[in-house]
Amino acid sequence: METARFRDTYSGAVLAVLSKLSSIGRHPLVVIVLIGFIVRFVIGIFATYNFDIQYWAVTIGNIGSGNGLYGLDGYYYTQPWGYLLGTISAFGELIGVDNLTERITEALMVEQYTDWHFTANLATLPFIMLIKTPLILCDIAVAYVIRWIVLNRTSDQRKGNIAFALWFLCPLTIITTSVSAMFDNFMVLMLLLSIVFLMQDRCFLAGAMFSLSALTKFFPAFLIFVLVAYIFVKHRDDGLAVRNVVLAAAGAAIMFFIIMLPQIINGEVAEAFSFITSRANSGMGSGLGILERYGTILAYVAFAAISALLALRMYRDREDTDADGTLMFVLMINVIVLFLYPSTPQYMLLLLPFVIYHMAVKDWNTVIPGSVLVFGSCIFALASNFTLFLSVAAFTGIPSLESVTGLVELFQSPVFGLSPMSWMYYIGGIAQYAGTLLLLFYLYKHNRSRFRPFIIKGRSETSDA
Amino acid sequence: MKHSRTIEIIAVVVIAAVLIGEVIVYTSGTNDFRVDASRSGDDANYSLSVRGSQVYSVVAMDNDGIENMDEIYVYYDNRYASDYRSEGGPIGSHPVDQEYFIDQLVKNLAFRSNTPVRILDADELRAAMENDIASGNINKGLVVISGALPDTVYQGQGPGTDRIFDWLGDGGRLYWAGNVLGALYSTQNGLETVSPGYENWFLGAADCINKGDGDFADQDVAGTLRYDLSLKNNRVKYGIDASKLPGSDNLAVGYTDGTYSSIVFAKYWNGAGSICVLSGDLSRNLWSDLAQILASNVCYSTEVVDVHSGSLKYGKTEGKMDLRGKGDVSMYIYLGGYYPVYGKSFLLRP
Repeated sequence: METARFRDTYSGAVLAVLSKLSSIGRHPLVVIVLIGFIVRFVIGIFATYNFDIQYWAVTIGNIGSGNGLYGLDGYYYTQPWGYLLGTISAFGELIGVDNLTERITEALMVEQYTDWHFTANLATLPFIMLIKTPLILCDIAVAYVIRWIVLNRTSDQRKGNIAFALWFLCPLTIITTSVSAMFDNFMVLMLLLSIVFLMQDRCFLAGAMFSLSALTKFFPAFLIFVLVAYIFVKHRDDGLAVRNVVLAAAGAAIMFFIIMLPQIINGEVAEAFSFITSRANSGMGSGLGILERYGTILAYVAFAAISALLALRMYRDREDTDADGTLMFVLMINVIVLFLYPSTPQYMLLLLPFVIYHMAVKDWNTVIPGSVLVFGSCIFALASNFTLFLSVAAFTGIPSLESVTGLVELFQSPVFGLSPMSWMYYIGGIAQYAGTLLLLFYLYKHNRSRFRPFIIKGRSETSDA
Repeated sequence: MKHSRTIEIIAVVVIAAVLIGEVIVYTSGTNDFRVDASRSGDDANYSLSVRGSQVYSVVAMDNDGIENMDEIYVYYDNRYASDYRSEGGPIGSHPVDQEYFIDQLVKNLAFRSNTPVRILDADELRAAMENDIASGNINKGLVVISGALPDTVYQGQGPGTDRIFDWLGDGGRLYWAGNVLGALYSTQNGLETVSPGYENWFLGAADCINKGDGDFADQDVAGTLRYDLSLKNNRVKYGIDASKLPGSDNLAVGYTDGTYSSIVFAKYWNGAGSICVLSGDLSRNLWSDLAQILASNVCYSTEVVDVHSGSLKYGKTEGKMDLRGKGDVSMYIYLGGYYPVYGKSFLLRP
């Protein structure tokens, strides 16, 4: 009797679990997640831009030698990604990833092309996957947060799932994570979390996440004006605006202090900000040379001024009853303004969530300029062409290193005056920029009412075109 | 707006990953590593222990009686003119000027080498050389990356007049990088060009230095030391064509373009000392290689006796090498491969 009851209970539980798994399996997101994961891992193993990832190895070596992030040369960003590398390296040591890179003599020929950032310091495959796996997990977290924001706004599962897919299957996010091994998606995740907490009136947490995001990469710092304006708009009538701003500032300040503490103690604050100060001297790496060198400082000032102006206009638009929607829209415009100054492709990740939100919630018209932008950014990001296969060739022999270096050489031979790589670089850069401009144009064309407060003082309309 | 447990979990995980990493970054260090070596008759015994996972290499070298250095001088004097060029780096990186190069070299040596380092200005350098010569036993190295020796020790007059040659003759070891060896000397008023003949003074051979634009090497020098010591710099500008050097007391290591090598050690032709020329403009690879060379005590007479390498995960390993028939053997143990995290050198006497 007891045995029969146990069997029934047991089989009932198993059936319940199977039923749950089956319902999860039927969820449309499962297919998207599976495809996104498989594509990322396969591409991640085969294609790697070794120039940046070699510095993640240098940084991990520096940490291991007891020199922190900035005692030895090799880490040129603000702290959060360096700290994440500390966590990643500790996990790597636990699972036995010890050989991070090898300098491969047979690949040295790529370094003769000194105009490009090519290196024969090739990341080993275990190290590559050690770095890329957290980035891939971050991608899925970003997709989840975007979906959550869209769902919260529309209560439409379909729209939420589309938003999820637009991020997780976007070629640019895949390339940034799985090829470039760049950490811009962490900046995006932290910013989105900050926005969510702000919308939930959890301003202390919002401030803390914002601080983390702006310290990971600098661009979110320009969004502070709009985010503060949002608090004032949302609490225009209940008198909680100042309190919430103070709470957010406290969260940001405390997180900033915690992150900066080791550098304050070691006297390395200037080194920590070399990422920002060097860009003020040398530009943002978009390849426009002298123009960007002298224009960057001016651009920083202009960004701040325009961001502040957007925030002011947003605050003055008293007829607006949709603070959350306006916030997402104005942030998108603000980010587009930042990228009117040419940037490298991975920075575009900052723009994507806002464009995806706009597509899913409001307006599919932006799919065309968005696609041009993503296409351009991908071509731009993949300009390193066959060097991306050096690691897999060096450590597996498939394809052979000789064939890869041969193709690298071929890609440097001039065609109509420029190498194919240069063609890719410039065409990609131009397309990315054209996509940015086109996006701004489309947004203006289809959302004139939303733009009006930013053009004509004190006048707005409530409905979009 | 409603709250979401999943969003909160994501935020907590992100913050935790950053803050845990912060603690790891600033608590990691060389206390995580232990290495030791000793000799018992014909056997060398070594042991390593690590917390974490690291690759390691144990390199045993017969230096033919050349002692390990007991001090390293680094010349730096901002009152004196210098002439060097630097390789660029990634956006955000510090320019590789003389001060930064020395700062990084000293920091790299701090966890790879047990030999003391002293930074000397031009006057202190002359005084140190005088002192060394008077003591008659020079086991010192001198690193010069300024592109020109100061006039306190070199005025382009040659052996018998310039102090640097007396010091080399008595056993000093010069480590040179950043420009053509001996072509210039510096004063507080600027640089002076030296008449042809300086190659003979330093290296005992004419026209053996790469003064052209060729700078790129894509082959390994024969032998295993490049790999054994994880050397990275493949530039050959200002490098030496070892085939033109007199006698056989020289050693090329690193990379070569077929003529010049990225690193060449040569016994000083007119005495007991030695010269090591590291090629190329000042760069990150260059200071890394220089630190590795200084820490390992490799020299012109080095023959690799044995190399053990492998991976070690949270534990200890011990090994034994056969040194039968060998005199003093220098053993360099380092962890971390191409990005060393720890190193130590041992002189194993019979």
